[in-house]
Parts: sequence; C-alpha cells; structure tokens
Amino acid sequence: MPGHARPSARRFLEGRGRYVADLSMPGMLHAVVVRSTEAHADISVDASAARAVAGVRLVLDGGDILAAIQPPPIIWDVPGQRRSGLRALAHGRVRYVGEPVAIVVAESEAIARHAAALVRIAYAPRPVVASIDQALAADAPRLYDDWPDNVVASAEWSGGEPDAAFADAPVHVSGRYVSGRVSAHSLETRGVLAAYDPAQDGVTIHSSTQGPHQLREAIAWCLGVAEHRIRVIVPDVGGAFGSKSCPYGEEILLAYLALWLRAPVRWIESRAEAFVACAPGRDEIVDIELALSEDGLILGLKALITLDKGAEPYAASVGAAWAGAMMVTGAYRIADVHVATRVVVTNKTPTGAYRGYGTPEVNFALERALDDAARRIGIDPAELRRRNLVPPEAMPAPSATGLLLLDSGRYEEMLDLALDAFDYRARVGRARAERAEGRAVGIGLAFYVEPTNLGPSALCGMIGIASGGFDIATIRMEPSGQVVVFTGQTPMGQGVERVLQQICAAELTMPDEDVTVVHGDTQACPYTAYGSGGSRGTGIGGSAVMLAASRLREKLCAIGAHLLGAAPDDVELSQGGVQVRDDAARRVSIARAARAAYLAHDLPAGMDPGLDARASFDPATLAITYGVALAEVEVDRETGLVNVRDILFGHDCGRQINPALVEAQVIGGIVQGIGATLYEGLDHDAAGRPVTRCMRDYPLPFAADVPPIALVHLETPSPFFPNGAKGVGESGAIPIPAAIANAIRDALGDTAGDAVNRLPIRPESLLPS
Amino acid sequence: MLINCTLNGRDTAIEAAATTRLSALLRETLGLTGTHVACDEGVCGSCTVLLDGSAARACLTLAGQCDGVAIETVEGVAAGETFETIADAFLRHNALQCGFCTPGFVTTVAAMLRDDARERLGDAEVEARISSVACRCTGYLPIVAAVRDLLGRDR
Ligand code: FES
Ligand code: FES
Repeated sequence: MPGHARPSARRFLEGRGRYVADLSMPGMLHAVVVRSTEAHADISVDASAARAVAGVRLVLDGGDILAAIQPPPIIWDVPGQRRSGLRALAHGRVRYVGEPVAIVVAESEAIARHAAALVRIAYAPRPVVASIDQALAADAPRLYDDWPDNVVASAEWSGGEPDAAFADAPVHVSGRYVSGRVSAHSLETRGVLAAYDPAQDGVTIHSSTQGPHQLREAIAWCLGVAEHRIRVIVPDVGGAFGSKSCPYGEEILLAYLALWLRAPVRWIESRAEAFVACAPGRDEIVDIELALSEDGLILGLKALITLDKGAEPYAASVGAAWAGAMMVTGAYRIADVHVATRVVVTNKTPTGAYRGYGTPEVNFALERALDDAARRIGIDPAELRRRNLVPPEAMPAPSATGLLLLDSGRYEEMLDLALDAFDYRARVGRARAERAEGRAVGIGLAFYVEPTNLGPSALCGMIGIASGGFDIATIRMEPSGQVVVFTGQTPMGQGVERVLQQICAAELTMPDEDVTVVHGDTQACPYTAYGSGGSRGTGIGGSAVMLAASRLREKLCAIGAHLLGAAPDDVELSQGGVQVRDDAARRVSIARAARAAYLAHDLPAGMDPGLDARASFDPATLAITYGVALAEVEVDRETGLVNVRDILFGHDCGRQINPALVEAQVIGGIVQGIGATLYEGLDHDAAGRPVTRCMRDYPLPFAADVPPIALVHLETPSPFFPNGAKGVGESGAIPIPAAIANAIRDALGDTAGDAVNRLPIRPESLLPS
Repeated sequence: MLINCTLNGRDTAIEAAATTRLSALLRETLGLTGTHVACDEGVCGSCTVLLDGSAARACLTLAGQCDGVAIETVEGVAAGETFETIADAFLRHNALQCGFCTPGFVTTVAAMLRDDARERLGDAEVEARISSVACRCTGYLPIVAAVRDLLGRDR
C-alpha cells in the first residue's frame, strides 16, 4: 500500500498477531513458577502438598534438576570473572526476591497456580546486600561463599597520560551520576511453549526471544541435547528492548519439561512476575572527573563505572559496564583517559540488557559533567561541546583507550543543525527572561554516540563476547520469480522484516511485494551470531541480505545473458528483467530467467540448476550513530513536577532504508528515555525487597505525558557497510536523560543540588528540603 | 452460569463461572486472542473491548456482568465498517510497532468514532481517551496523529 511504512503490520490491527500466549496445542500442560519471597536466605522446600493436588503432573525443585540442568552459558564472558553456578531453580539458598525455587506443571493454569501456592518454602534469612555500597563494604556479607568479595569482575583501560593531564589542567569538575534500575517493560511479558518433537526425538520451543540461535545454544548446553534436535520458533514478539536478548532459566526449564513429560508445556509470565524475574536494566553509578583548559577543551577524563548486577552475573554479565567503558569518551577528542569498571552482586534481580546497554549511563555522566564544566568556565554548554567534537576529517578516529572507533559522522554540522532547528539562542534568552519572572524554565542539551551494527567478530572476541558478530542470509528465488529471504534476525516491532524485504527487492529491482521474509525458526533460518540486539538488524542482517541478493543477481544475469545470446558482461538487471545494456528490445523477465534455472534444460555450461544464494557478513568495525537532544522544561516549584515543553532530536544513522521506521525507533526511544528520566524506577526497601511490583507502581509514560518532539536528520553513510546503514534502535533512549536533567539544572540553578544527578528525577527531590 | 450476550454481532450463550474474567473467557474459551492481557489489573488498556459500545477493560470485567450485554472485541471491530479507515490511518502514520497494545487502541478509537458526540469531544477528552492505553514502542505521537486524523482534526 502506498504510504504505509510496514504493510504487513495490518494483521496486528485486526487482532491477528500471534504471540506465545495465543498459541496452544492439544494436550498442553501449564507451568507456574514458584519464586522466592526473600532477598537472601537458606531454604528448604516441601512440595508434597502441591504434588498431591489432582491434575498436577510434576513439581520440580532445585534438588531435582541438579544432575539434569547445567548452569547456563555466559554471553559476556571476560577473563577472570566469577561465576555464580546458579541453575534454573535455586538449590538450598535464594539470593533475590523472585528467584525461581520450584516449577509446577498441571493440566490447567488454575490448578498449577493453586498447587504453586501450596509449595512450602522455609526460609532461614541471611544478611542482605541491598546496594552497591553495601556490596563493596569491607565487612559485607558475601553472596557466594567461594568468592573473596562481591565483585564479579573489574578492569581498567588507559590512554595517553591522564595523571599528567589532570595535574596540569586549570579546571577540574567531577561528579557521581546514578542511573536507576528500570524495567524494559515490553507490553508482552515473556512466554514459552515447549513441545516434545517425536519425529526428531527433540524439542520445539516457541519463545518470545530476540535471539533464537542463542537460545538454542543455551538449551543444548544446559540439557546436553544436540542442537539439531532443538528447534526454536519465535512467534510475534510484543516488544523486547533488550530484555529478551539473553536466554532465561524458564526457557531451559520448559524445554526440559517438554522432553521429560513428552508433552507440550506452556508458561506465560505474569506482570507481577515480570517485575522481579525479567532482567531489568541500568542500575549503575558512574563517577567521572574532567580536566579542562580555560577555554573549555577537555584535556583529560577519568571514570569509574560500577554496575549492580543483582544476584548473579547472568548471561549478560559485565557487558553494560564494559560497553560503558568503550563509550564513555563520547563524541569528543580526549587525549588522556583512564576508565575503570567494576561489577558487583547484590540481593536483587539480576540485571540484563535494556535499550542502550551501558551507553545511556555513561552519556548521562559525561553530558551532565560537561554542563557543570561549561558553567564553571562561563561558556555556553553548546559551545563547549562544539570545541571538543571530533571533526569529520579525523575519522575514523580511535578513542584514547583504543576501545572505540568513531567511524564517520558530521558532528559539528549536526550540532548546528539541531541548535538552529530548536532556535536555541532565542530559547535560552526566553528561558532567562522567564526565570527573571520567577518561573523555573530551563534549556538543556546532550550530544551522544551510539555503538551499532555489533559487531566485528574479532572485536566481540576482544571485548569478551562469547560469540561472533556476523549474520548469514540465504535467498531463494522460486521458479515463478518471487523471492523468499531467510534471516536469523527477529522482528519485535522494529520492522526489520520490512527493511530486509526492501533491501532485497531493491537489489533485485523487484516490487517489494514479490519478496517475503522468513524469520524466527532455527530449523529454517541461517545462523545469526548475536541475534537481534546491539542495533544490528539493518546494518549486519541487512548487509548479509544485500550481499546474498547481489550474488543471486549475478546468477540471474548469467542465465539471462545465455537466454539472450549475449555476453554476461553486456547485460544488467533492471526493473524486473535482464536486458542487454542500452538495448531494451533484448530483454527477458526475471520470471523467465528463474523458470530456466529450474527447468535446467539449457543453462550456461557448468552452472548448477536452481536459484538461490547465501552470504555472510561480518563488519570491519562498529558503526557509530550519533546526534544531539535538546529539551526545554518548566519545573513547578510548588509540586516539583517537571513539564517537558519541547524536545528536538538531531540524529544520523547513516543511510535510511525506511525513514518512517527510523523515525519510529527514535521517537519510541525518546519516550522510553523520558520515562527513565522522570517516572520509572524499580525501588527496593532496606531488606532488598522490591517495592515496585505492579504496573500501578511503575508509571510508564502515557500519551498525555509526551511532549512535542521534532526530529532533524543527517544521512552520513558509514563507509564500512555495503548499505551505508547504521543502527537506530537505541538512539532515542541515550541522550534524553542528560538533556532533561541539564534543562532542569538550568531551570532551578544551584537549588537543583544533587537531584539532577540521579535517575529517575522524582518531583519530591526537586522541592526545597 | 449461562451468559446470554451478543458477541461481535452474534447472539451467543456461553457457559462460564460468573467470576471468570472476560479477558480469560474471550482468550481461552472463545479463542478470541486479539484481546491482549499485559497487566491484568486495569492499568494498561491492552484488553480494551466494547461493552454496549463503550470501551471497557476486559480484565476488570467478570463474565457474570456480561449477561444481556453486547460485547465487541477487536476481531468484531476488524469486521466492521469503520475498520478500513482506522487501519489506513494507523498504517499511514506508522502507529504501531510490536502490535501488542494495538487492539486496545483500535477498540478505543472505534468507540470514539462511533460516539454520537464525537464532534463535541474536546481535545482534552480525546487525549484522555488515548491515554487510557499504554504503548511501550511507539512513543504515542504517531498514534495521536492517526487518531486526530481520523477525527478530522489538525495536529
Ligand atoms: S490487561 Fe486489562 S488493563 Fe491491562
Ligand atoms: S506497539 Fe508495542 S506496545 Fe504499542
């Protein structure tokens, strides 16, 4: 349909989406997970009453799976990091509220729930570690008896001579910046339907996941089942945002249950469970120090990134902190840098990946600190940034630590574009005038860089990712001339299926509707090394499709040339046909060439019959998307409520294959960023018990909370990708917290105090104490 | 109990416990899985259906309350007259991503469009109604744009 960014989305409007909870099978059983209600305790489990309930088929606790289910693999697996050894069910000891203790399988969900309530867990409480500070205290209780402390891993990187730079610099600023624990909160919770597959003596798992191949690997590893007997199918995914990127214990358990019971078993996470069991994100403290010259040049940066992992490393492990170390220098030229990371365990739900994954946390710190520096030096904050941005002619530009390569971009041009579009000067003046009248109005900005197109496999190895970073695509042209693309990428609303369709159709000069895309099935689809995360769908998955399509095109052209009696070099593919260059009269349609490939009566000598192609794509570098966010806010001095009046977002993700989908990603990310800045937080009491347990306690932004948002774009293709595209999935969420916090600081002046350094910035924190 | 109701335009008798949630009844018993459950506590609006033409939370509605009521789910709306214009506006404005919230918006918007008083719905009322459904993907702006378009209002 003309004017529709994603025509296949129509089924969702009709109520024909198919999510895991919509699937059922004959004889399907229902699983309910029994979870710890204590943050730290030794436990004993008595499931006898639950087992006795009519209709209950099986109850397993941690002791029952010790031999059968191994601890899951770690995806960010850095040298020397400590492991929890935890399995899918706790055994003898629990370490967070929400930790799975037992699983009940019954003939109906109601019976399973009833029986689950009868599983008795006796708790002998242990002292609780509820915060990073408590975890690091000298006499802290330890979560793992065989660890010397509560630290999973730590590391440091240096470039240049940071100590010397700091000693010589006239201006120093420093601060502690806290990004609170938040929930990705996809509207669809997690869910799994696992079924025994008698034909393969294997198991088929339907799961709401971002990484079908990664899930298959984890199941194979944990259960000792060969990968070819495991089939992961991903139905429609109702949002994910990183939280469904790493395998979970429940997915492993369900696969085990289906194999054990030789029956289909379904588990659907309740919303209350999601708040304690679906990996949250952020929960990081960044201490940052900047050394500057009198005229605002950044001479040195020191940062300490401390990530609260919750109760165990989990598959995502140290990744967010390591990614933060890579990104902490941002878009700026900084010659002398020292970055340290440490990752600690506490008695809270293990954190995982969430949109931005370490980048928003360091961006918040750096961009807040730069504002303080501008104030100290007495120059405009936008000007201070301008003086330090890496210029295009310096790219590709490695950071001082060597962790980051800024591949391409026009940073200063972007800044100017955005400042103009926002009418920045005039707004700053108006805000000053309003403040003079007593209103707390302020303007703030933040520049950002986003690591996308993860990633070169060699880089993955270097930074401790236990997988590659490539994607494979296969394309099959049917005898009728239409095309099926097979990808390891997984749609979850971002529209990657649409983008891959467009890429393939463009390469083959065909109408989009002649291309279908098959995804979400490990038995049919080629391997993806990292799934749909790291903003890599278009850049990596799309490049693989483009390369495969160009191989297919070559074969089509060879067949077409043969049919036309022309030399292969003299023909080209255009508008759905192969024709002799500059001679439109000598032309065969794609359909005719395709039929010839399958008839195989008369093919060029030595050519294989059939028409398909395969390509893998492993990039040379990450692609760094970038941009700037500007915000105008007014704070109500009576209530502390922040009214975001306007947002402008400047953005460059290289070539845009589907601009409407790019815009959708940016806006969606911005609004999640607003949520994390002003509303959302997963809070705990002193005993480590989560107090945010339902949607009522976790105020997502609704439509009325969203300010006007204007976007401006540049398109600077990345020279390192065949399609020039960089990723876009995480952009919006990255600079919004700093931009809004800087605007609040501007509005309130010194009275803002420390409140603007901790997310979320809640109204009560902005009231005079 | 036996519940006599109209379901998507058809007279229907359903046997169900009076305390069954309408969302569960629709999804599990009647196979109408377009009604989604994201919170089960009345906050998210994903489960919005039309009861006698008005938008209501199916997760907060009990089967026993549905006797004699006309129930319309997203599947019913999709088969109805206004649907083409709704679908076209949502697709043109790219007002959905993962689609999980979408049925809640479709039913909410259908109620607005049929509302005899729609011309008199103030902007604040329109915003309030859209703000009864949560979406985690779109950031709402395209949804608001689609709805204003459907109501014939400038942005
Ligand atoms: S499921 Fe009914 S309002 Fe959320
Ligand atoms: S489109 Fe995903 S929640 Fe609205």
